[in-house]
Amino acid sequence: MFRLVLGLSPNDERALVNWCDPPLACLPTDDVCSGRSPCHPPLTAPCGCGIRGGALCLRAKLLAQSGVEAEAVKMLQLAAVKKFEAAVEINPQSTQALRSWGLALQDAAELTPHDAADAIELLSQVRVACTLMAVSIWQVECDLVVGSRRQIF
Amino acid sequence: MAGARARRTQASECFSIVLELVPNDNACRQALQQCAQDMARLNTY
Repeated sequence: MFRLVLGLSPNDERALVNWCDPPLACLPTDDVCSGRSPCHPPLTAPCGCGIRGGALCLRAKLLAQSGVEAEAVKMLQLAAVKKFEAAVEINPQSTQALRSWGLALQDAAELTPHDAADAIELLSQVRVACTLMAVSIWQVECDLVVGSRRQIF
Repeated sequence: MAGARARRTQASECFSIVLELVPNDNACRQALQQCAQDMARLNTY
């Protein structure tokens, strides 16, 4: 259905968001976000609002709960991330799309807690830190040498 | 493919933009704080 709408109108932001988001009756409102009426209680965000699950995100979570292989769950989650991203590209001011994109990204991050990209990034940070530390040690040594020479002369 | 850290950074940017547009969105504020905590946790490894 959503695919059909997007085939006819590729820039239909609403179709993209709804593809990932819950049915209209469950769409987040200010009341929902205040935690008064969570949409999908078992799948709500830690804050208690109902905006965590989208149709795609929801399917990903249900698959994860049913013990389906992690790769399939991750693919669904990443599909949701891409659709929210496309929706934000069409309308950068859409708070609903931005909020959902952020939550979908968070979920995707949970599925890949520590991967190679993180390891490489952390390693580069460690290298920078080591270089800075080596420079500071060298400076201290230089100061000591200069200090001892002054004492000799 | 982006790593978990990159995704959390991107998520934080999304939440920050939403908060600029809707400053009283508490759910978003909490999600942003959660992102910051997750990033801090990642930094300890």
